[in-house]
Amino acid sequence: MEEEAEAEEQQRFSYQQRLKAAVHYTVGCLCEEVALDKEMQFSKQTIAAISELTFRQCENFAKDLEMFARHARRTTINTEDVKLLARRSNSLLKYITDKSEEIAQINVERKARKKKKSEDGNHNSRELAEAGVVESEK
Amino acid sequence: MLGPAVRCCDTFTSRASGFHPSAALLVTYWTALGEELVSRLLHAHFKDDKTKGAVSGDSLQLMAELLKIFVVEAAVRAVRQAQAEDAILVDVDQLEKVLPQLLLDF
Repeated sequence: MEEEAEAEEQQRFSYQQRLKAAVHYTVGCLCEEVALDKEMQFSKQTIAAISELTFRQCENFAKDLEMFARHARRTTINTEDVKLLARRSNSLLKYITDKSEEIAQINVERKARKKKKSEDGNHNSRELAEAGVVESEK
Repeated sequence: MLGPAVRCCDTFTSRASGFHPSAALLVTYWTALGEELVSRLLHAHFKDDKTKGAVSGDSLQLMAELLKIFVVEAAVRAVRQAQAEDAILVDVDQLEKVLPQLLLDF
């Protein structure tokens, strides 16, 4: 029994390590962009520190989001919860609010396009079906 | 220590008004803080069994944005600090100095 628990612990640990590695890679890429833009080099320790920071901050974010959703008596986390996360700085809040409207707009348009495509598809197949029926009746 | 902290606020206030232009460009054109990564990151820390399913698609994209800004903001502020100190390299010392205000802003 103990062995099983240990193995599970080990698995969880290595999953976490893989997540951290993925974050580290992404942070490295983003910092590379900043370094190129500002013509300033980052030391490896700095990049490692920022990625550790991001990982820990994610933990706080996740717990907060969960709490917010539960407080609102929901089981799904939605954009209102995320906006609440960004409340501490006014300009950050404004940026996130604008972004959320932009994302909502893009998704609405995407859904509308998908719906139109499927409607057109149905329309065409219905026409074909009617044509087929008419033929067979003859 | 109020000096550097006040200067750090500039990054965000300039975002509201006109945005520090290069930072804005970075954040909008880099699209991949992979949504799957963000989803896995959040799920790894959910404690409540009921929430374990559910983050809406929109909020996942928004969270990706937020995390991107977090990283870029940390990097840019550290660079500013290094420039102010006439350092050739952005080292952990510079990051440490901008960390308190960064965490307060998030």
